[in-house]
Amino acid sequence: MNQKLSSMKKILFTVLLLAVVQMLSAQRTITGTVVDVMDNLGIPGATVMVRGTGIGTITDIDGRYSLNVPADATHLVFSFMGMVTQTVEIGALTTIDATMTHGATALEGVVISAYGVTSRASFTGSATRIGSDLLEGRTTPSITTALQGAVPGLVVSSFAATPGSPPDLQIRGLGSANSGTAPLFVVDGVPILSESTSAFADQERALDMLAALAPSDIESITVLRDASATAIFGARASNGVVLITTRQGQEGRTQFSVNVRAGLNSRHGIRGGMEPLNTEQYIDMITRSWQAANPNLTMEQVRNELSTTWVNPAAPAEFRRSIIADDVNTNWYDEIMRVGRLFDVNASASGGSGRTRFFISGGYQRNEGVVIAQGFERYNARINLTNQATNWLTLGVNVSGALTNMSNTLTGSGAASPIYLATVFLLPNEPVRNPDGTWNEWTNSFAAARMNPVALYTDPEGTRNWQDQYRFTLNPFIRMNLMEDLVFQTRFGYDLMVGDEWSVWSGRFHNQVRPQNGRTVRRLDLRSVQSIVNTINWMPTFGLHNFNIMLGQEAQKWSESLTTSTAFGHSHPLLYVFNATSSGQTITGFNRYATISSVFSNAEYSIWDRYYLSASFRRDGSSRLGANRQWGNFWSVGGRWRISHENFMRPLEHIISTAALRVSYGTTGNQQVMGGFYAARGFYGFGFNYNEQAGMIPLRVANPDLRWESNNKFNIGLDLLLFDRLSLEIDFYDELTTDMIFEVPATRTSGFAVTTRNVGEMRNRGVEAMLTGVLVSQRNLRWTASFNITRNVNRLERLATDEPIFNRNYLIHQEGLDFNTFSMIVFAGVDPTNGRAMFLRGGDGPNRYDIVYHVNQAERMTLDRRTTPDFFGGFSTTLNAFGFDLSVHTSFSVGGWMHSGDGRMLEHFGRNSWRTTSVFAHENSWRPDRTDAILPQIIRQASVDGGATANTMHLMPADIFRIQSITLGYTVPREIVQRMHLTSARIFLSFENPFFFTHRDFRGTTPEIGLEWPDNMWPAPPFRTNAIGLNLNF
Amino acid sequence: MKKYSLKITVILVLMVAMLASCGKEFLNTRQTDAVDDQIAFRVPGDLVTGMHGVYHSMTRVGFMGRNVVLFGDIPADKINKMAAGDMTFQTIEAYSFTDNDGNLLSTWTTGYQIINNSMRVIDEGNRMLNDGGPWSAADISLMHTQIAEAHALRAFALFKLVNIFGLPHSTPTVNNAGTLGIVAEDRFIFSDESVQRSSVGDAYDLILASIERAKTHFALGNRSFRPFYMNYAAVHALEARVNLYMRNWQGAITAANAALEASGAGIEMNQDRFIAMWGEPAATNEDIFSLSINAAIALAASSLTAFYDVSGGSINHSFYYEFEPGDMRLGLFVRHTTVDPSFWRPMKFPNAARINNTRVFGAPEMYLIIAEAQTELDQLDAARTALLQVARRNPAITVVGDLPNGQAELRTFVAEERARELFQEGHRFFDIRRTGVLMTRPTGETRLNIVNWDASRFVFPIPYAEINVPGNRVVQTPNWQGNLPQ
Repeated sequence: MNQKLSSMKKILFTVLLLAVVQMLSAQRTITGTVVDVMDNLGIPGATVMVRGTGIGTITDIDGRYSLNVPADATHLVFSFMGMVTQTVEIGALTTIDATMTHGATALEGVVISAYGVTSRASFTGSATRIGSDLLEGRTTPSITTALQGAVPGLVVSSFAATPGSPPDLQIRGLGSANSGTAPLFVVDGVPILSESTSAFADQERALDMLAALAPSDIESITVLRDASATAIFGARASNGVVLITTRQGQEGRTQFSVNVRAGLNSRHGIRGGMEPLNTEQYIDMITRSWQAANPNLTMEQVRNELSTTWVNPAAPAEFRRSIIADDVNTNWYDEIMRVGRLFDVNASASGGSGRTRFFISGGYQRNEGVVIAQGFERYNARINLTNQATNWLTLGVNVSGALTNMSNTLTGSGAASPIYLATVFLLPNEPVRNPDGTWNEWTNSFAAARMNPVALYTDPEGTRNWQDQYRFTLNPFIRMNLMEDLVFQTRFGYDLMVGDEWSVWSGRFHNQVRPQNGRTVRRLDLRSVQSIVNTINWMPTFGLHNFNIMLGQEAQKWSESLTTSTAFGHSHPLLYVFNATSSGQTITGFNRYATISSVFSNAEYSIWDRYYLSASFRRDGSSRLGANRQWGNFWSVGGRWRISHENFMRPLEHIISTAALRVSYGTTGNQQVMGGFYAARGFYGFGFNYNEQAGMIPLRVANPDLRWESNNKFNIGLDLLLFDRLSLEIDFYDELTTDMIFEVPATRTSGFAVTTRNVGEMRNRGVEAMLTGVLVSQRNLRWTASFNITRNVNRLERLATDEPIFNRNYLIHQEGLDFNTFSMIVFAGVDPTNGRAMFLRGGDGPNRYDIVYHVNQAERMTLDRRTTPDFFGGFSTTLNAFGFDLSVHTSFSVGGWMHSGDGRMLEHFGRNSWRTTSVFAHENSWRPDRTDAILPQIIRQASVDGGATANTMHLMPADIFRIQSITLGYTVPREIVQRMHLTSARIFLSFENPFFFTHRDFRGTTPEIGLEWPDNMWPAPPFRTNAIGLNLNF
Repeated sequence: MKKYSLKITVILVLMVAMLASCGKEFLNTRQTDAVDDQIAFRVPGDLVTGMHGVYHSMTRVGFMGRNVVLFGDIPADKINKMAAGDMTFQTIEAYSFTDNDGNLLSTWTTGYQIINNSMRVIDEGNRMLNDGGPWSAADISLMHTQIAEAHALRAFALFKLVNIFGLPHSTPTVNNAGTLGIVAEDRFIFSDESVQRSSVGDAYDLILASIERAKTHFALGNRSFRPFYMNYAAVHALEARVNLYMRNWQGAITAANAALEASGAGIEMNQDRFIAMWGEPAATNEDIFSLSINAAIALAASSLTAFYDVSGGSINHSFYYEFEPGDMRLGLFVRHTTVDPSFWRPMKFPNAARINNTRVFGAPEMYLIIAEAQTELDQLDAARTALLQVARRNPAITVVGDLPNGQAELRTFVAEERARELFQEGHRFFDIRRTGVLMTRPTGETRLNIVNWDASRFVFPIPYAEINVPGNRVVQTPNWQGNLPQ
C-alpha cells in the first residue's frame, strides 16, 4: 500500500512539474455598472469575477465597478445574493454593464460542493444550500437548530431547550444501529470538532461544539445528502455532510456592519394537564388514595391518620409537616423557572483594496435559559484574510477564537435535577422558605431526600455546574494557478478546544454529598483536529467538451486528552477549588488519538451545457479499523441532464425555464465505529487493582477484520424552474447500510460477553420535495415562499442474531421493521367495576387477547408505531413591501411516536409513596363516583399493578407543528439613512419559537425527543424568545 | 526564472508535507491507558499484574464479592430476606427465578473471567519460562508463584461453578460424576469458539489436576503464607474441600492438616477479638485465604455488607435458638437497624462503610472437614478431637467427652456445627446437597416454605445468554424446573 501511494505521488509530482508555465502578464481594464431590473438602480456590493480565476471586485455604492483583467480572460461573471448570476463574454469590450434579475436562487448560481465550488448547473448531487438570511433571525446558540424544517431530508431534534445544548441531527433517516449517526461537519474545507460531550455522560448538559461558531460569521450552510455529493468524503460521509463556509471580505471600501439584539426568553407551558397538582388537588388526591387502600376507614379517619403522617419524619419538630398540611401552595415548577434575558451584539468589517480582502468580526451573546441557573454566554472573534500575492498565487488564512460558557443544572431523572424535583418529587404543600425567610431544608425525605431546588441552585452555597470552552481555529490556505485551467490548492486546518467543566455539589443542600460535606469534580478536556488537504483542479475545455478534474490528498488527526479530578469535603461552603477540599481526592485521565489518510479524485464532464457526468473515487485509511481492513475504497457516479436546454423543449421555454434530471449512485463509509477510537484493538485495561497493587484485565478481544460500515446511496432527482419564479426539486433515494456493527454475543466462557462484528443491514428509502417560489415580484413588493416535505422509511434489514433485540421496556429492533419500533405492554383501559388498569396478553379471549390486571402477566407486543415520522418538513415565507419585511419559518413532523417519561414518572397511580401526580391523572382517574374514567384508580400502596413497567398508557403521538420564527423588520429609506452616513439601517422585532401545536393526545413538556432514545424525562421546557434588534451597515 | 523557482519551491515544500502524513505508522495510533493484548505479558511483573486482575474479578459482585457466597446460603434454610429491604436475591430465596436471572448470569460470566484470564497467565508464564529470557532466580520463583496461584484460582472458580450449575459430585447414595456439568476445558478458550458442557466428573478431574499443578509450581516458587492471596496453604484447603465433596475422606484429612500447618491458622477463642476481627482490614488469625477489600474496590450497595444490612438479609429466628446460651457466636447476631428490627442481622460483615474482607478458607472449616471425614471413617476419637476445636465456642463443651459418642449422632452434630460455624460464608446449601439431607425451612420464616425437599437433585439453570450465543453447543440442563421445591 505504501508503494502504491508513493508511485501515485510521483505521478502527481511530474504532472505538476510539467504544468509550470509562464503566464502572460498583459492586462486591461474593464468598467461598468450593475443594476437591478426592478428599479434600475445600481446594486452596491455585487460581485464581478473573471471566470475561472480568483480575480474580481465588487461594485461600489452606485453599482459601478472597475476591474483589471488579464488579456486571456474570456468571460465576466456577475453575481449577487437573491439574483440570477450572469455570465457575459468580454470579447473586445471595455465597458460591460449587467442587469440583474431576481430569481428563485435555488437553481442557479453557485453551490458549495465538496472541496470546491461548482456551478449549480453541473452539480449532479442532491444538496440544499442555506444562506445566511435564514440564520440572521435566530438567536439560538446552536446554528443547527435554525435548520429545523428548512432542509429536506434533515431532521433536527432539539429536545433539550437549554441554550447551548446540541440538537441531534439526522440526514435521510437513521443510518446505523450502533455506530455514529451524526453527519460530518466541514468548515471552510476542513473538518471540525463536532462531537459534543459532557463529563457527566448526559447529553442535556453537553455544550454544543458548534456553539463556538457565530451565526453572523457564516456565509452559507450546505447540506449534502446523496452519493454524488458525499462519496468524495469517503469513510466519514455515510451520514451526510454539512458544509459551512464563513464570510470572506469583498474588494472595495471597507463595509461595517453592526447588529444588536435584546430580548426575553419565556417558557412554554406544560400542556395537556401534565403539570403537577396544587395543594388543594393534592390533598384531595392523597386522601382518596389512602382511603382506597384502606376501605374500612372513613374520610375523617383518613384525615386524622394523614395529619400525623409526616412528609419529613426525620426533621426537628418545628419543621415537621404533615402530608395534608394546607397552609402553603407552592408551584415548584414556577419557582425554578424564570424569564431569561437575551443580549446579542456582533460587528464586522469587510473590505479590501487591490489584492487583499479581509473580513473581521467580533461578537458577544448572553442567553439565559428559562430554568434557573441555566445560561449560555459567548465571546467570539474572527479574521478571514485573502491576499492575491501574484497573478497566480493566492494566500489566505481564517483565524477564529471563541470563549463559550454554559452554566447548567443536573438534568433528566437525576435526583438533583431541579425539574425532576419540582414535578415528580416535591409536594405542593411544602414551602420554598420557612416563615422566617430561611430556606426550607426539610423537604420530603421519601423521594426528594431533603433537596430544595431553589436553594440548591440559587443560594451562594448551592450547587453549581458550568463549562467554559476555549476554542481556536486556524485555517490557512495557498492557491496557485499553475496554468490557465489548472489550480493547485493546499489547505491546513487546526481546531483546538479546551474544555473546562466544573461540577460543584453543595455540602449543605445537595443530599448525595451531605455526609461528605460537598464534592467538586473538574474535567479538563483538550481536543484538537489537525488536517491537511491538497487538491489540484484542472478544468480544460476541448471544443465542446468541458472537464473539471480534481485530484487530492488528505490527512487528519484527532487528539484528545482528558483529566478528571474529584475531591470531597469543602473546607468552607463558599470555596470549591481543590486546595479547599479535604478528602477522597482522585484523578483519572487518558489520551487518545485517531487518524485518517486518504487520496481522492473527482471528475466532471459536460457537453453542450446539457449533459453532465461526474464520477468520484476515494481511498481512505482509518486508524480506528481492524488491522486487516484499514483501507477502503469509495466511489460514485452521477449524471445530470438539463432537459430544458434541449431543442425539443424550446417551445415550452417560457413555461419551463429550467428542467434537469439527476441520477447518482455511490458508496460512502462510516468509520465512527461503535467502540471508539480503538474499536478494533484487543487490549488489557488497568485500574482493576487488588490489595493496593495494580491489576489488569482483558477488556476487548481484537477484531482485525473490523471495517467501516458502508452506505450505498442511490438518488434520482428532478429540478424544475417554472415561469422563472417557481422552483421544484424532487428527490427519490434509497440508501442501504451494510456491514453494520453489532455486538454479537460470544460464549462467556471466554471471559467476554460480546465481540464486535460487521453483520447488520439497514435501509432508508424516501422522497424529498422542495418547492420555492417568487409569488409576487413587483416594484416595492416581493413575496417568496418555500415548502419542503420529506418522507423517510427506515427498515432494519438484517440483525446479528436470529432473535430480535429488545431495547429497554419499549423498543424492539426486528428485521423487517423500522429500527425504532415500539414494543411494549398494551394498556387496555380501566375496568369500570373496580378501577383497575387492564393490560393485554395473547390468548383465547375475544379478539385473540386476554385481559389481565398486572403487568407481570401481560405480554409485550410489537406495535405499528415507530419514532420515525410519516412526514416532516417546513414551510416558510418572506414578504418585502415598502421597506417592511416579514418572514415566517415553520417546521412540522407528523406520524412519529414517543414515550413520555414525564408521564410515566408523574402518573404513578399510587405506587410511588406519597408523591404527587398530574392534573390530568387526578381528573381522569377512576373513582367510585366516576366509573367511566380512562385512567386507573389512584391507590396508595406499595405496588399497584406493577405499572412502573412502560406501557402504552404513555405512548403518545409526537406530531408537532412549530412556528420557528416570525420576524418583522423595517428598513429605513435610503435617503434618511444616507444623511446619517449609513449604508443601510433596519430595525426589527423577532419572535422565535412563538407557538407550537401538538396532537390532542399529547400531554407533557414537548413531544420532541432525542433521536437516540424516544423517551423524554422532564427536559428543560421549550421557550419563546421575543426580541428587538437593529442592523446597521456603514 | 524567479517565478519558476518560487512555484517549484512551494510545490516541493507541500510535497514533503504530503509525504509526512502518508506513512503506515500514521494509522497506528497508540492507546495510552491500555496495552495491546499481544504485548501485555513481557516481563515477570506483568504476570503479577495479570493475577491481580484475576483477584480483582474474585472480589466482584458476580463472584466472591457477593453472589457465589449468597448462592451458598440464600437457597438454604438458615438465612432469609424477610425483613423488607430491596429485591436483591429475593427470587433466589423464593425459587421464582428463571434462566434469565441476572445474578446467575453475572456469576457464570465472572467465574469464567477468572478461569480464562488465569489460563492466560499460565500460558504466558510457561512461555516466558520456556523462552529462557534473562531471568534471575527471583524472577523464576515469582513466575512459578503466579502460575501456581493461577492454577489454584482456576480450580476454585471451576469448583464453585460446577456446584452451582451441576449436581453434587457424590452424595451418600449417588455418584453424579457422569451427569452434565459445566464447560471445563484445560486450555484457553477463544471468544469465537463453540464450546460444550462436559460432565461433573470431568470438571472435578480438571480441578484436581489444577491443584496438583499448583502444588508443583509452588514447590518452585514462594510457599510463604500470604493470607490475601491463593497461597500454598490455601491450595491445600481447597483440596480438602474438594475431597470432602467427593467423599474422599483420607484425602480430605491429609489436605486439611497440611493447610492448617502451612498457614499456622487457629481458632480465635477470645470473645471480644472474635467479634471485632470480622470488620477489620487485617487478616484474622483464623484466615487461610481471605479476599482483601479496601475502599477502592468495595462494592458499596452491591456488597455482602449491604445485603445483610439495607437489603434485609437475616438469620431465621429458629436458627438463633440452635445456639446454646453463652455461645461465642451469638455475639455476632444483633437486631437490624435500617430495616425491621424484629429480625436478627448476622455480623460477619459489619463495617458501615461496606468495606469488609471476605473469607474464602479458614481454620474452622478445616477442623470441621477433619471432623466430618474422621466420622465417616469411623475414627471417632480423632473426629471428636478436631470437632472440639470449633465446638468449644459453646462454653458448655470443654472436653471431647462433651461431644456425642455414636457415629450417627456425631455425623448429625458435625453437620449442625458446620451450620452454626460457617453461616454467611456460603456453605450451607452445598452441604445440604452433598449430604443428601432433606431440606425443611422453618415455617413462615422465609419467602417460600419448603418441607422435606431433596436439594441434591436440584441445579441452577445455565444462563439463557450463554445458551443463546449463535452456534454455541452449550445445552440447558433438561427439566431443571422439575426439581424446584414446590
